[in-house]
Amino acid sequence: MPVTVLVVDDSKLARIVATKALAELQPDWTRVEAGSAAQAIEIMAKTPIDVALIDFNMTEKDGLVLAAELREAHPDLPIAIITANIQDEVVARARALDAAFVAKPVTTEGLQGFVSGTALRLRSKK
Amino acid sequence: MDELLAQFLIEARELVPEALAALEGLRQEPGDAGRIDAAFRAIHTLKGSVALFDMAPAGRILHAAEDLLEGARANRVRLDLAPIATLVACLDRVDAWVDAMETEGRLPHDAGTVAARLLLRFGGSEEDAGPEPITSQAVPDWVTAILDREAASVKGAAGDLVAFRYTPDAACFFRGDDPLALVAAIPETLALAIRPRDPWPEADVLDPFHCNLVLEGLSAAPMTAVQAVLRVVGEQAAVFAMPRQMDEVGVAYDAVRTFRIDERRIDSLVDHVGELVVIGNSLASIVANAAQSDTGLGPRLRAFQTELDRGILAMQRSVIAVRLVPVGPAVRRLPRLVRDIADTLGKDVAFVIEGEAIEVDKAIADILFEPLLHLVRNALDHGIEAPERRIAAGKPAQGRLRLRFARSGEQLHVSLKDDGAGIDPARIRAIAVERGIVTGEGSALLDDRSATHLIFSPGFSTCDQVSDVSGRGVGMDAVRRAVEAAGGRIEVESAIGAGSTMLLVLPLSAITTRLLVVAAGEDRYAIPFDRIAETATVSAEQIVPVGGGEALVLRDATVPLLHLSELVGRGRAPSERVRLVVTHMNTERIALAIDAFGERVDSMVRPVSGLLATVPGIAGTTLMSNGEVLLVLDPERLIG
Amino acid sequence: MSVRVADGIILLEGRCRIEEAETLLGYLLEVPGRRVDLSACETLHSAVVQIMMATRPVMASKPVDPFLCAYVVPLLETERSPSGPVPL
Repeated sequence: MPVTVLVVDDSKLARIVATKALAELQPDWTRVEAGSAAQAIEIMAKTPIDVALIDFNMTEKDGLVLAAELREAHPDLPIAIITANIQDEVVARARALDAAFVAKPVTTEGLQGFVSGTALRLRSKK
Repeated sequence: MDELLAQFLIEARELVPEALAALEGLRQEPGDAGRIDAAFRAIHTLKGSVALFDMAPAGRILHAAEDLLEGARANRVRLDLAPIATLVACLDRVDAWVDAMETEGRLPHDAGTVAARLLLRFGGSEEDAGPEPITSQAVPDWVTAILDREAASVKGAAGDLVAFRYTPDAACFFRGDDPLALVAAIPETLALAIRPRDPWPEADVLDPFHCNLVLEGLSAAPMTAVQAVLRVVGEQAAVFAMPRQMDEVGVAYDAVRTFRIDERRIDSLVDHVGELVVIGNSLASIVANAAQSDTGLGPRLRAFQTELDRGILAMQRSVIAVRLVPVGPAVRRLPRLVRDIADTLGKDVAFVIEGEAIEVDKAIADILFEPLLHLVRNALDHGIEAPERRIAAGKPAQGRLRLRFARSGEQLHVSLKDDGAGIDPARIRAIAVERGIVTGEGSALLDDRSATHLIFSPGFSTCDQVSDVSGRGVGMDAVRRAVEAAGGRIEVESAIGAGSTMLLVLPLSAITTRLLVVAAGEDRYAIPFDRIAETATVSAEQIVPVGGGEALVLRDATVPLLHLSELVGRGRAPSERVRLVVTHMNTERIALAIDAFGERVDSMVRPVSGLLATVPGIAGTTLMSNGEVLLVLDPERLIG
Repeated sequence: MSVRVADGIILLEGRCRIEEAETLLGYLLEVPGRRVDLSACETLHSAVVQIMMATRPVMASKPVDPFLCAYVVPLLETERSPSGPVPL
């Protein structure tokens, strides 16, 4: 079964960087991009998504608010929050949502752990 | 004394001032995080220590103090002046109880009530406090376990340590966490233990992606650096900053940096070095002799001797430095006592100590407290007026009392200045006459300054001044005697209505004394420099007979003259030029005529024993470089 | 692949990631008593270390990486040694 990953970031550049890293690590995963939280929710409603990679710092709605909304509907969805600075409060909120952290800017190295863990998780589910 | 208690006394007396200093700083800079941390750490450690003894009331108030500071750390509570005052009151109480543990071996009977009253002062200040109060245990079990296990790394550590424990959740691998990689990123790791959280299952049922690890260790990096790494895993990681000096119970990992030495060992070292100095000095004359008879050998010997001297001098300096301690700890109890005494007397006093870092010989530091306590009590009792009287006199209601330590050459100047009523010389004259210290005519002859100094005369202070603080009737003459016994002197400056300043002048080092060698006929003596006001040479014509004795005018004042050779029971040889050593006798100057000035030396003065000890006016003996032993004179006692 | 078997010894090479944990466990279960060679190993994922802690294979060769040498190697060796901890 193919894996589809949703990359949410309001910066086009940041989405390119993240999808490139993803492509390197998991070339056979399908990548879907969303430029806003609203668009992400729209996509999630129509398309089956296996993994979500969400930027924390978005103008409309921060990544953790979006993650919380997604979590309600998808209790098992692997979610990673992309962020440049990790504050205690952010950590606590992310942990409550069982979300991982990926350092910004996204590199294959930084993304490796989350992608490996997710691959294992999806595989053990199937 | 029980070793544990002895250690507790030492450390409690370091921790209380530490916390007080931090709180004092917080008064100046409210909300300063570093100081809040410092106060918290000290109080936290202290709480852990009192738990070892039967000091439950102390534990309760320290616990409340700690909670308050924890609230301040988390920005839940603002540390205004009122809560700071409460914290200071708690520390003062604990400080007094520490003293009680030493003297009585237990807390006073009212400790429970006192603690309960203090606890009321914390009430309500923390209503919106967060959910987790600090556990009553000083050091979490896991930290103790790490300390036990890693004793070796702990002992070798040079500075503060941070203990960390990271217990990743079982599913962390799926989120992409690699706990080992994270812990590897902690800087300056000294020890790391990786253990299974639960016992390992058999290999064939092992789930390779179920994390079953606990990672614990110690880092020498700052707390913030360790936290920065572990922050990302939130509450799965715990960090604990270990107080710099934990007692034996909590493993003394600071042992490498400082350790306590029996004073007697240092003293014997001092003695040996003193002997070396003498031997080194005697070598000088031998070398000089050798140089005369052997021009080849002379310069080589001299070079060798110069090296030796340098070595001995360095060693002497090091030994003197070993005995140096800051004066601060010696007077650390004074602020609390000032608050207590001022409270009892209904006075409002701001007390400041300056120059606490000045280092003096331990022997000097050790004798400071008692005299200063007496002087402080005197200043509060007789110097600083009650608030209403101060206001009436146009002064601020709050009195000021300043204790200042300063170095002046080889001397320590300790001044205690108050802005109180000052000392009225007329009143002092009256009391002195009444108590038979001087006659009425005698008192009239004294200038105001001399009259004021009568307060140091034996019998001036009476028993109605027995203080309920010291519990003893310590007069000002006892203060003077204590100071003089340490080789110092005391003076007072006062202005009616403006206040008084007591000045203690003490030697910084009790080890070597600077001496002036003088001759009286054939004999040579040494006089300590700090006893000499000045030296002078005058012509015999300037000396005039006065009554049964002699005097001369020296810088516009008439100074009585005595002859050293007569004082030591020898006849005097007439001379056109008279050489004088001018010394203090209380506030008076007295000139001592000698036959010749000799060299100046820095030497150890040994106390006299045997027959000599009964001879008045002999302060001790000193060994000269040529092996000659000189008597060291105490001019004041010699004359008196 | 950074986990492979050669001459009956399990070689862990380069950066051993989480995926290798399962492979390693497989090799260890396949032929009990296989030794592991860490000499070419750069990093070990926690999951891989965990497998070795749980199964205690004999180490054929130590890694070069100082962190692994300092904290992971003694952990594995002491678990194995019958005569108590082996000082480094």
